[in-house]
Amino acid sequence: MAIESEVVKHVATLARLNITSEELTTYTEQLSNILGIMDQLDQVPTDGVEPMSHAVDVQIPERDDVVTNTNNQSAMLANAPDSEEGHFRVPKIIE
Amino acid sequence: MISDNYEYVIGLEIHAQMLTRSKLFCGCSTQFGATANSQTCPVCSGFPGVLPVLNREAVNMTIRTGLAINGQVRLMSEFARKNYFYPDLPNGYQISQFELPIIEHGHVNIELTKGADKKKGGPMKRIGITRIHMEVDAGKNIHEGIVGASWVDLNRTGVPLMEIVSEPDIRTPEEAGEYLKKIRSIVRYLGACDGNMEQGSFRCDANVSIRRTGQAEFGTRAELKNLNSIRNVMRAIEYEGGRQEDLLESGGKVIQETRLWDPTKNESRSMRGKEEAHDYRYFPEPDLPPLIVTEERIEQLRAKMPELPDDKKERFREQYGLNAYDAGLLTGSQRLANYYETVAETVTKAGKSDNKIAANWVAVELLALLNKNSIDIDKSPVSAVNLGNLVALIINNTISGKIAKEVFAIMFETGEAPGKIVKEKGLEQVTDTGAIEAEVDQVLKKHAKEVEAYRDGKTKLLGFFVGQVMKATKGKASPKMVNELLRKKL
Amino acid sequence: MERANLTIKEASDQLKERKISAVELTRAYLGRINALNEKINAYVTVDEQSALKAAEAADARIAKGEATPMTGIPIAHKDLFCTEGVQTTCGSRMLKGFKPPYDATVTTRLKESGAVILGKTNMDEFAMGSSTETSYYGVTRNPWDLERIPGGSSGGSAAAVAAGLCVAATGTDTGGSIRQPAAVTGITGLKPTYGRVSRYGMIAFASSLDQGGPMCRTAEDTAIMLQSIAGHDAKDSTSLNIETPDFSALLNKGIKGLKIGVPTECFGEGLEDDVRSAIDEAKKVFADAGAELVTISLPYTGVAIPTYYIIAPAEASSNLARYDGVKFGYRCENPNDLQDLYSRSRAEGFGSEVKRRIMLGTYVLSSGYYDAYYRRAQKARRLIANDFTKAFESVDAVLTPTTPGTAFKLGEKKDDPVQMYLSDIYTINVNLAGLPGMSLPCGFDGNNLPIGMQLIGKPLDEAGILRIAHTYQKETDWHSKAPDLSGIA
Repeated sequence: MAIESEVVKHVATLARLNITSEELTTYTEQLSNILGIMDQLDQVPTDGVEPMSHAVDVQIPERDDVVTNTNNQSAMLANAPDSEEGHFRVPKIIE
Repeated sequence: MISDNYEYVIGLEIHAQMLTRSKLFCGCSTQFGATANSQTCPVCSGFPGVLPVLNREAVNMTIRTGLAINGQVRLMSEFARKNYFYPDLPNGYQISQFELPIIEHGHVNIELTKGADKKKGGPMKRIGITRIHMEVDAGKNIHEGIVGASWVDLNRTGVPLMEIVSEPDIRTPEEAGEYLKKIRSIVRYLGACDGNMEQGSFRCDANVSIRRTGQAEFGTRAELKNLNSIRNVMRAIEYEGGRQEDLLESGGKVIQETRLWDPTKNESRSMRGKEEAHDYRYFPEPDLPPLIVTEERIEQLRAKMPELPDDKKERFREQYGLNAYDAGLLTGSQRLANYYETVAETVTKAGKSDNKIAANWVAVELLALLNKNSIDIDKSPVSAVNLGNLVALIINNTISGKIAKEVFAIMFETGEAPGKIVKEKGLEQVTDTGAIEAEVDQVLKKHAKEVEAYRDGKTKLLGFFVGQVMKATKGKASPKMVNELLRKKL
Repeated sequence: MERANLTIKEASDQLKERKISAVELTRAYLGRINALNEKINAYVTVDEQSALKAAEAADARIAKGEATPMTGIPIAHKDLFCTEGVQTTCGSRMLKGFKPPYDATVTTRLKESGAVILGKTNMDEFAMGSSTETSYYGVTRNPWDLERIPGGSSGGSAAAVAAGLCVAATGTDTGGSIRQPAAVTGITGLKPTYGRVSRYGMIAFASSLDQGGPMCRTAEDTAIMLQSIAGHDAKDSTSLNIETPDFSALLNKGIKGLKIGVPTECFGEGLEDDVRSAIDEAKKVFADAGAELVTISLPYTGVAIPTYYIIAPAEASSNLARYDGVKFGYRCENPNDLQDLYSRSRAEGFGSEVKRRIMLGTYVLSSGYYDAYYRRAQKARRLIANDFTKAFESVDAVLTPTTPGTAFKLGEKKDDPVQMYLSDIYTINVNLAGLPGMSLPCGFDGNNLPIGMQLIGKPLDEAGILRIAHTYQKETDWHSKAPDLSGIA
């Protein structure tokens, strides 16, 4: 299936990826090619087949409701590009 | 407000923070008010490679809530990712449930105030609950007082939430209020949530549309956010109804949007454009296999369910002979109900029982003082046993109702037992016939003129004599006996 | 230490017999790294100090007689296993300088076993690729031919093992990222059953497909290393809570009477002749050892590529949303506002293949396309898994080529994603089905480039395929061949 560059633009916005007009052209072409392979799935008889989300058939384990972590603020902020007074710092969020 | 030509169609989405010790998917504390980012770890902060592990207690609380709202527990449910970018959402997705929520098809019955009768209560209405699912809370973005930036605190990130989604069965702002109160009292009874709307541990979004009376189709709805009290929920719905009616009546159209309620201005504003085109791209959470709940587990949780508000209210009516209004009021919270039961039991132990007087003292006298002083029932300076003993003193004529109020005021002040106060201040009701007779004689002698007038037919003066005797005995004489003696002597 | 092809088994024996100390062994490997890594670029980070400290501790442990078979063995980690306090880049600019405050469970277990971690190996960015050309830290070269790719995404680990820059290494495999580089560099690599090895601390690409595993010289080594990393982990909800068998103990049972299935779908068009004939030769070895080769069919093999390239990018698009320039990792200069911070940090921090897959994954999950792509792919995935379930009713293991051809030239497929994706054709259905699979060397092509074959096992039957591989390696010596690097040292 060919894909419109408008759709690619929208997808880039959803994915929060700034793309140049050049990249838009490349991605539009490449995604169209890739989606061309995807269309092979149309031949697969999937009616009534249970979707498979997990590689193995197990159930979720549950843990006890116990607090196991202690204050680790400095380690949690150590990799932050910008932080201030124990907080992560980001450009002003306008609500 | 809307006119009679229209009716509301309202659905509520409640987010209730669960009272677990640790977060939904990691071992960080859920305690409110800690230093920023001190209750975080790689898992809740979205670090690379780390993985979620589900909190059993959160599942149990959700199942219990599901049972309390007459819901069906799915034996197989599934977590899903809801994808969007925001600084308070460190993973870039929220772990929630989407296609297969743990609870479905529930309902509660609410009591309508319109057409209510104090004795029998109001008409009941059933509100459907589409689903309850588990999800993680987001962190906090902080804007105020920070120049040129916002701050992010992830302490709240990952705290377990139940999202309780109603059917669009609610038709008036009052019903919305009653529904919220009902759900809040249920989660509080279960110890699943503290129900605190101001602090944000119990939050509500309202989906509101209006339609012409008699019309079957729903109108276009707006989603109202930032409703931090039941009162604000009701006011925001009223405002929204009015706004939509004005729009429709002036030939306009309601558009589907999110609106933010401003409680100080008493109006809402559109968030359109700010949230932009959301496409959450839900898909099953690959890090978490399906959640399988056994029938056995459900039955074990059911067996340990506490008595719920509706059942308790019914029992209060039957067991204590209370009217619907009092029973409803006293079972509004588990702690208040327990308090009342201790009062009634203490009264009964003391000899005669009178559940209605007991109810009156709790529901009127005590609650008035507690509310006035913003004191929680748990911290009441008057213990339930003390209040029970006070009521017992009234019933067995040790003190009059009037004296009882004085004693109660002292109890509230000092926390002392009523017996002690009565004794120390010599407030026992005088029931000794000889003593009262002496006072009566004194009064009649002193007011010879009035006695004559009474005997001439001015029988209304009886009240005057009673008053004089009570005054002379400092209110301690039994009013009944004073009346009897006066009649006899006159 | 001149040999590039020392095995864990040999090294472990020498350490125990005190013929060499762990410190000496470690220094020897650090020396080789110093001499060769510049040309091969297998490592992103070499941590000499920690390695020597660990080697000293290993020597003390050996002296006390408390050694495990991994104690004192110099190994390397693919640079997506988190290592506490040591840079973990995932091959991306996005994570340049990122020092995790935690260890991956695989890292922890290998540390506990006494292994010496030499450093972190290069990889395709976020494990997305089949050539290690998408790394922000430069391409890794194939030690057999420096103008060729070492495979990917665990190309740095494969090249390091093949060139003798470590005795063994960890890798991860989402669609073939252990097996394909193992094949094209002439080493042995195993992707365990999904859930056998904890994913905790292993930076996610596609969570329902990712699995870590050993990359070694031999099946015997693979069994040893797998033993130390496998087993239940409460920190990974998809980790299997079952006992781990003694893989080494099961190696020598022979393969007499075993049925090995050969799927017709994997020997059709697109398979290079040299690869085909190498596997034909291998079949004879198996038959001589008493196994029966049975022709089988895996009818849905053909749709594994579209299925995989929907599911993996979809999961990746979500897994990679956390790289937003807020908590860690790359942040663009002077963002105007929040959206600019996100869009520019991500655009500048990610390379083009990663962005392509994020876009693809975002697209297939987006409103209106979910059913057409994602859900349909999940159903096709079930059909692919069912193929194997059916096959394993009649055979004990499945034999296929690992790759359609040997190592291709650097840059050859870089700008053609579709061609690149097709090189995973024999490996990805194993991930989709969650099965154990391994690649082991079975010959060389006309250019003296290694050829690999793939063995696929029943769920949890790593021991079964290791046993077949070990039997094969007792009869052949492809696995002990090492590239001649004298020219570049």
